[in-house]
Amino acid sequence: MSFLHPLTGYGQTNSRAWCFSACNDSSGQHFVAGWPIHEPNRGFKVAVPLRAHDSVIHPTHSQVLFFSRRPGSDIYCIDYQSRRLVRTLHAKAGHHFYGHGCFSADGKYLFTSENPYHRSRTKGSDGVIGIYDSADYQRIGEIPSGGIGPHQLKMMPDQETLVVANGGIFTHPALPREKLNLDSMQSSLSYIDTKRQNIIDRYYPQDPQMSIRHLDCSGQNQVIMGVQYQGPAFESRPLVLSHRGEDRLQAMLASESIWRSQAQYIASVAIDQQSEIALTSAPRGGVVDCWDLKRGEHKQQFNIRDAAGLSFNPKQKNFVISNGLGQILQWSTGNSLQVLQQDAFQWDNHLSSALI
Amino acid sequence: MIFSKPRNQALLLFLAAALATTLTYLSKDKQDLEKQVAREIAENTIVNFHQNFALSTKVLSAKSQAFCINPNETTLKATQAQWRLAMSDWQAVKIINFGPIKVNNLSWRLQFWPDKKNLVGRKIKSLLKSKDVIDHAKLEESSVVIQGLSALEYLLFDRTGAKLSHYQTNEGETRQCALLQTVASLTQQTAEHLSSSWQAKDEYLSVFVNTATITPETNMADIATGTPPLTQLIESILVNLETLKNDKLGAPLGLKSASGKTNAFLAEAWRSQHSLALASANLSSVRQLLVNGELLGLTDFLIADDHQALASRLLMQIDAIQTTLNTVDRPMAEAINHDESRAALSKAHTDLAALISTLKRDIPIAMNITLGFNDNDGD
Repeated sequence: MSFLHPLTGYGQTNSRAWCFSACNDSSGQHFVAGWPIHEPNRGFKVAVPLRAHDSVIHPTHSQVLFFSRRPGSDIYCIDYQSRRLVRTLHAKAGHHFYGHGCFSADGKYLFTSENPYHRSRTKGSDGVIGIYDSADYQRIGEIPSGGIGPHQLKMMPDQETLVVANGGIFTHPALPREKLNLDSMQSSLSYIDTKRQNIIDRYYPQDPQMSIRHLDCSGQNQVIMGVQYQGPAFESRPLVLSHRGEDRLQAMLASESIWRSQAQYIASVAIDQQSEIALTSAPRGGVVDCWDLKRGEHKQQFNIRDAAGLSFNPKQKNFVISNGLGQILQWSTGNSLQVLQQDAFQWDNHLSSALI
Repeated sequence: MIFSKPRNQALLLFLAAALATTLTYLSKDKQDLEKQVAREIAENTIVNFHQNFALSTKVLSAKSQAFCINPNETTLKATQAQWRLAMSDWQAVKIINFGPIKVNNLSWRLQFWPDKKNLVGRKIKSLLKSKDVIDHAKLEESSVVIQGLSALEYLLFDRTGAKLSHYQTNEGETRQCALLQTVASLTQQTAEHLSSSWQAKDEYLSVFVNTATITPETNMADIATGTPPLTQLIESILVNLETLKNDKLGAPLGLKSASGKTNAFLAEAWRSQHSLALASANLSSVRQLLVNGELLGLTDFLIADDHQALASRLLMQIDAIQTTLNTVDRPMAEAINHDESRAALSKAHTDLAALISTLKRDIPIAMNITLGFNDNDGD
C-alpha cells in the first residue's frame, strides 16, 4: 500500500522516508519491521506472535500499527522512535481482523476491516468497519462494510469517505484458510460516509467471482483496485479496475497475455503522488505491472520473482517494491529497476512508506 | 541407509568435501552441482515422465479407435484400462508445473479438475446433442472442459454418458465415437508436444538448468528475476503436494467445507473409481523426482551438503504416507465413509502436512535457498 499523509511531513527538509513491512525469518518466526529506506541498519525488527499483513502509520504520533493477517485478532502498535512494541490490541470478541486499516486525517480515529464471524458459522455475514478512538484504542463503534469479507480500505481525499474493497469471500476461523462460498460469492467496492456512518454507494465487478481485495486512492479521487479471480484457473479476467465517479467499475486496458501473466492474483496496489501511475504486484505470476492512470491502460511489465509489497516513496518520488526473497527494490519512470537491499527475511504482502 | 547409488558415491564424497566451506551464497562448486543435478533430473526423470505419458496417450488413442471400430465389452474394458495408465502417467507430468506446460493452458487442456459444477458432463452432453462439427480444429478452439483426460473419463466411465449402447447405435456411434477419438487424439498430440519440449535438444531444458543459480558474483537484480532450477523443482513439488493434501484427499474427506461432510464427487476420478490409485501414483512420482533413479537427485544434493539425515527423513515421510494409502482397500467413494479407511486417509492427510512442512521449512535452510513466499499463500 502507499500511505503518505499531509501531517507526516510534506515539506520537512530533514525528514526521511521510512518503510514498514511484516516479514518472516527462515525458521518461520514472524516479525514487524521499519527502517529508513536508505539506512536499513537503523531500523527495527520486532518479533510478534501472529503473522502480520498490512501496516498503517499514525499521522501525528510516532506509531505504526501492524494488522495480523486473517483470521488474526491482534494489532501490534509499535513506537518507531523507541523501536518497541508498545501495545497489542485485540479484536472484539467474535470478530477478527482482515489485515488492513486506516486512520482518519487527524489521526483521532482508526478504521479496521473486520469479520463478525460469530454471527454465522455456515453462511457468513457482511463485514464491518470497526471504529477506534486512537487516543486509547477503545472500540467506539462499527459501520457495515457493504459486503462479505472487507479487506483493504482507504480514506478518500475528502477525509470523510472510506472506500472499501469487499472481497466477497466467506471465511471462518474454524477453517481458517478455506473459502466457503465461492459459488455464491459477490465482491463489491463500497463508499462509506464516516460522519453519517452509512454506505453511500456500492459497485460490483463484471463477474461476482472477481474478488476485489486491495486498492489505493489517488489525490484525484481515482480508486485503483487489485482483483483476485476465484473462477476456474484456465479462465482470465481483468485484474486491475479503476473507479472515479463512473456508473460502473472500469477495467484497465491490457492484453489477454498480460492478464494471464498475473495468474489471477493481484497482491498490492500503489499509486504515485502525482496521480499518474499505479503499480500492481502479482507474485503468483512473478510480475509487477505499471499502469497509466490518465489513459487507463497498461504501460510496462517487470519480471520480479515473488514480489508483493508496493509503496510510493514521497521523498525520492519513486516506487519501492519488496519480495519474498528478502529484497527491496526501487523504480521510477525512465529508470531501471534497482535492488536497494538484500535481507535474510522474507517480506510479506504489503509495504508502507511515509516521511518521518 | 536408503540410498544406493554406487556410480555417484565417489563424486558425492568429493563434492561433500568441496562444499564444506559453503557460506551465504552457493559456492562455485555448489552452483556447478546444482546445475548438474538439475540437468540429470531433467534428462532422466522429467524426460521419462513425459515420454511415458506420450506413449500411454498414444496407445489410448489407438485403443479408442479400435473400440469405435468394434464397440463391445472387451474393447471398452481395454480402453478403460489404458485410460487408467495414461492418467497415472499424467500424475507424474503434472508435477512439473513450469516450462512448456505453462504455455496456452496445457495443463487444463489435459485435465479439467477440480470440476465442482460438473461442467465436463454438462458440456459434453450438450455438444453431443448439438449439430456442431466434431474435429481437431473445432475441439482445439472449444472450451478446455471438453478436452483431455477428464473428458475421456466421462466418455469411457460415466454411468449414463458412457453406456456401451451409445457407441453401438448408428447415430450415437457417429457423434460419440467421433468425440472419443478426437479427444484421445488431441490428448496424445498435446502429450507429444510436451514430451518433445523437454528433450535435451530443446531450448527449454537449457533455460531451466541455467536460470540464475546464485553465486557471490550474481547481480542482485538477477536473483529477483530468475528462479534457480532446484528451487523451481521444490516449489513445483510443494504445489503438487498441497493439491494432493487439500484437493485429492481433504476435499472428499470434507475437510475443506464448512459442513465437514464427506463428498465423493470431489474426488479426482470419481467416475472411474480410480482416485486413490492416482493419489498413490502422484506421491510415487514425487519420490522419483527427489531420488532420480541411479543418477544425481535432490536427495543426493542434500547428502553432498552433509544433510543425509534430512534426505532420509524426507523419503521416510513419503514412504510412510504411501504405506498408509496402500492400507485402504476400497475406492475413495466408499473409503471416506468407512471408519477404518477414513481414519487412514485422515492420517495420510495429516502426514502430508508434515511432509509439506519439511519441504517448506527444513529443506530451504539445508539447501540455503529461498522459496517463493507470497506466491503460494497470499491474502
